[in-house]
Amino acid sequence: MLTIKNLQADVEEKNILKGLSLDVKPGEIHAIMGPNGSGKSTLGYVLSGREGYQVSGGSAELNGENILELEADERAKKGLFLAFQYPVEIPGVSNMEFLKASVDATREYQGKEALDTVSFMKLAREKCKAVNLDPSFLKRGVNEGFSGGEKKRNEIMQMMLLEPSLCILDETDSGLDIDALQVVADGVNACRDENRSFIIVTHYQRLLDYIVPDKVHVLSDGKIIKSGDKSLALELEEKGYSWIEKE
Amino acid sequence: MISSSTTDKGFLNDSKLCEHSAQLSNANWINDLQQKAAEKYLQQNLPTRKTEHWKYNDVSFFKANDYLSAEQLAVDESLIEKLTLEVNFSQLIVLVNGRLAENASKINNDSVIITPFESADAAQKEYIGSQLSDSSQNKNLFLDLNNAIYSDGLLIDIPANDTVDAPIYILQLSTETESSAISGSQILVRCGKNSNSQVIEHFASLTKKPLNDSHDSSQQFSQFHFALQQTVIDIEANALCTHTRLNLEKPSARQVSRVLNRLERDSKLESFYFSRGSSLNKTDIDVWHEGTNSHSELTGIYLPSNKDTIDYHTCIEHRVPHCTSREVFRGIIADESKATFNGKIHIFKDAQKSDAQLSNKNLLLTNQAEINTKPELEIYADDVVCAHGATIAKIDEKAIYYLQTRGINELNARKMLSIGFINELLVNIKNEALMSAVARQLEFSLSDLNS
Ligand SMILES: Nc1ncnc2c1ncn2[C@@H]1O[C@H](COP(=O)(O)OP(=O)(O)O)[C@@H](O)[C@H]1O
Ligand SMILES: [Mg+2]
Repeated sequence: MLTIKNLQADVEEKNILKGLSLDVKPGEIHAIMGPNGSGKSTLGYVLSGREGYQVSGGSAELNGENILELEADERAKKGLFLAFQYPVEIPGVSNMEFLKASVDATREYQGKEALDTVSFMKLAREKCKAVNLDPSFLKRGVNEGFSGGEKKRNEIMQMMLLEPSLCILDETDSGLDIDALQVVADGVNACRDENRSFIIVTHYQRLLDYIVPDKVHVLSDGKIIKSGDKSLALELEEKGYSWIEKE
Repeated sequence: MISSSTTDKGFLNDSKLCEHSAQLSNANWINDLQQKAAEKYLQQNLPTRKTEHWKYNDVSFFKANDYLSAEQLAVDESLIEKLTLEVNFSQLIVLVNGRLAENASKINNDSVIITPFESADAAQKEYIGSQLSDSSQNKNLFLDLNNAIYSDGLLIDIPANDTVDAPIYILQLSTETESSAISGSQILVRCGKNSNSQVIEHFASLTKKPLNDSHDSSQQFSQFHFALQQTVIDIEANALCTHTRLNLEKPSARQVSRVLNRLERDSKLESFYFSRGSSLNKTDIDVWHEGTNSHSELTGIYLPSNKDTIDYHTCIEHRVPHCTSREVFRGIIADESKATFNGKIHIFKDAQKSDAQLSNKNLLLTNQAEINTKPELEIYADDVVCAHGATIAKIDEKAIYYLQTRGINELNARKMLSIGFINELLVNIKNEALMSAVARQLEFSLSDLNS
């Protein structure tokens, strides 16, 4: 599914990712944990193709294809999805219009039949319900004036609509109360299947009570310094990161 | 740079100017009015880049050999059909280079009466005279020139108590010309007491080549007539006028114009301006609240691209107490284009309880795009509410990236954000066909944006 080898990346000429390797197989859930500033968000940006995030070495392949040269929208259409740590507000563009454009572009690229407006609206309302967002949110500007939790649920709704093959969730659980956390976890679990993989960036073990990862990695200073199974997350919760960094 | 001596005002030195106005209209009373305007024009110097009102416009093309075109051109009716934006109208007035094109117009004088100045009766003459004399208050000598040279002045009379369901559509075309030519246009709209009317003014360029709807600057047009224009909308007590003004000319077109709106007691003006700009596109908008409890709403969208310019000087005058004004203009400035927005609110000494709000927002799409936005407040009354704001922003690159991560390509993302910036203003166009026509223009103007 996703194979990252020795990935190095710079932001504003500062080296942030310093040789990161990761192999995610179809259907797997990987959790990435790590201290603030270790490069977790940067990894998501580099993989999704954000401008200004320069790859200076290594490779990343999605389903056997090098994605690092592609435009961000092409990567998305090939099935990569990033749920933002800080979703962007876009006043003036309605959520509905945005979602329709997004689904249309993706379906067209993937050679799927276009959805007519009526079926799309029906689908969008269904997904709203699934993440416990009132359908009136579809009429509002994209993320405009949404609370933190609403923004995160909007991200999960987009994920459900776009049916990506690789989902990267960047601290989707941060700042959520327990109910919202449950909604996010249910969303992810509903999307799980043998062909869809997840990379879940989180600080907290608690999300992993709801979404059980196959692997847990610790990212520190731009590299993965330790990998293990879900018990590693528990250990991190107890002891923090410093004991690994010292190892 | 042009010299400012009076002899350099082109064909418009004393003798020639008078000759021309005489040749155009045969009614003495019009000649007298035009003579006065000519005199005022001749007393002024041509603006240079140092002249405040003209700081951002280049009028150096205006030269000694300009001439006035008095030619009356016939236009193909099928062309007109294509041009009128699929909007139903009650009457259609087509002017070509300021001259009334009777064959293409559809004037039925069915309730709303359209009278050429020449055929005005005594009362109308008096009305026209007083409107033109009042409107000679301006800061723009090209308007004086217009008042001196227009040929087919029109008075549009909306009778008192009348509700006009379909708009009066005024289409003004400028044609291509080999040498520099200039044209004038004068339109007076009188909205009678308690009347309710819609007026659409649409400006377009007529090429000699077959018409296509392209605003592509790579196509070389020879020049068009330099179009001077004034519209006066006089809204009597308790009347409502919905006015839409669309500037959809070719990039090489040039226009200097003015809209003067006069509001009497309890009247209401709802106006909408849309322009894509051109090599010179300057509109002065004046709103005079002359009767208490009158209300004006101005909405504007401007979208210059390539090397085009656009200039709006708006001035809202609260002359009497208890009036409200709302003005919202937004511009998207692309490529190397340049926009000027000057929004003035003038509240007179006795105009207590005035409520004036003005907002101007601009989106710059490139580093070369330029906006000059200047608020001006002159407030001489103390018990007023006045809000005034101008902003300049760039496209939010984070938002572009966000849209891209959802599969929307960069060009479409930019387009979505641009449309999103002005979308909400479109609801101010109440006529649905007109709203979709403007939406199409918007799509069209934004579709060839460079990233
Ligand atoms: N736009 C930027 N300009 C400069 N430095 C940046 C930028 N974005 C991130 N960084 C730096 O990169 C490092 C990793 O940041 P980030 O990926 O956001 O960490 P995490 O998500 O793990 O908290 C930090 O040291 C941060 O300061
Ligand atoms: Mg982060």
